[in-house]
Amino acid sequence: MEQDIRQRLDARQYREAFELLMDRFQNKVFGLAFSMVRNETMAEDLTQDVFMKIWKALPGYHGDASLSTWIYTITRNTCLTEIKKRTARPTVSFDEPEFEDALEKLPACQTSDREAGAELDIQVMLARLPEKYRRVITLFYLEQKSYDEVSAMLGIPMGTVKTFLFRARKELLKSNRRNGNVYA
Amino acid sequence: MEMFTPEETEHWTLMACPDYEARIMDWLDGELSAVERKSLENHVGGCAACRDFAEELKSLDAVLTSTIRRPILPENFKSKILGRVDREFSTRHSDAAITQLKRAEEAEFQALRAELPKLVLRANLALGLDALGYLGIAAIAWLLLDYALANLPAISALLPSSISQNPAQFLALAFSAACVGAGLAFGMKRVVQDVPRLF
Repeated sequence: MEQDIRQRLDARQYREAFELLMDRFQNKVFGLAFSMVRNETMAEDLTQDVFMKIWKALPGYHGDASLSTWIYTITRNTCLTEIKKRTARPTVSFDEPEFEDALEKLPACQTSDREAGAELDIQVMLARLPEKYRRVITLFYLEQKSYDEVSAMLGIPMGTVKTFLFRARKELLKSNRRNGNVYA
Repeated sequence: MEMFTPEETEHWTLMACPDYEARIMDWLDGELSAVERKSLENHVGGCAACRDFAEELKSLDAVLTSTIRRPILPENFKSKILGRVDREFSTRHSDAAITQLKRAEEAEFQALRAELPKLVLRANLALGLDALGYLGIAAIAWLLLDYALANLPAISALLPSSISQNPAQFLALAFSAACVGAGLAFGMKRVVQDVPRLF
C-alpha cells in the first residue's frame, strides 16, 4: 500500500510522494485529530499543521517505521501538544457542568423527535466517558469497526483496544439504564 | 441528584453472565470463529440476561454507528495545503528565487564597496580631531599648571621639587595615570557585565 509512496521518496520526488500521501491519509489524520480534540474546526487546523510537519520532515524519513505509524505518531504528538496548550488556558469543554447546563437549555433537547433526543443523549454519555475509552470508541466507529486500524492510529496494542472498547460500551449501557433507556 | 439502591447498581455491574459479556461483544463485532459462535448462540438462546445484554448492545451499536459520523474535510483542503507548501518551501528554494537573492546580495556588497573609501576617510578624520582635542586639553592643563607654579607659592610648596621644576613631566605622568585608570575602570566594567553571561 505504501510502496508507491516509498518509491517516490527514494527517487527524491517529494512533491509527488506528498500528494499521494495526502490522498491516502488526510481523512485518517483528520479522524484521529477529531477523536482527540472533539472539535471539527480545531481538528481541521491540526490536520493542516500535521501535513506541514510531514512535508518538512519528509526528506528525513528513512522508512524505519511504517509510513502510517510515522504519520499517526506525528498526529498524536501534534494533538497532545495542542491539548496541553489548551489545558493551560482552559475554555468551557464538554466535561464541564456549564456545558451540560447549556445543553439542557437547547431547544433540541426538549424536542419530541425521539431520534434527535437519543443522539444528544448519547453525545452527552460519550462526553462523560473517560478520555481513553471515548477516544477508542470514537475511532472504532469512524474506522468501520477495525481493531487493527484503531490500534495503529492510537499506537496501543489490539488487546488494549478491545478492553477499552468493552469498558466504554459497558459504561454507555449503564448510563443508558440509569437514564431510563433513552435510545433503546 | 437521583439516588439508586445497591440492588440496582449491582444489576448495572453484572449485565450478563460474566464469562459471556466479552464474548457477546466479540460476537456482535464478528470476531468469533464458527465454533465459538455456535457455542455462544446456544448459551444466549437459554439465558435471558445474556439475551437482553446482546439486544442492548445491538441498540447501542446502531445508535453509535449513526451518531459517530466521520467529519468531512473541505473539498479544497488538499489544494490549500499544497498551496501552502509551494508558497512556504518550493518558491523559496526555486532557482529563480535563489538567483534573485544572489543579485540582491551582490548589489548590496557593491554599494558598500563604493562607500568604503568615504567611510575610511571619515573614520581617520574623526581620529585626527580626537587627537587634536587631547593635545589641546594637555596644552591648557600645562599652561594652567605652569601659571599656578609661577604665581601661587602655596601650591609649589606642596609639590615635590622635581615636579615644580618640570611641570611637563608631571603632566605626562598624570595623563598616563589617568589613561591607565580609565582603561582599568572600563575593563572591569566589561568583566562585570560580560563574564556572568558566559555561565
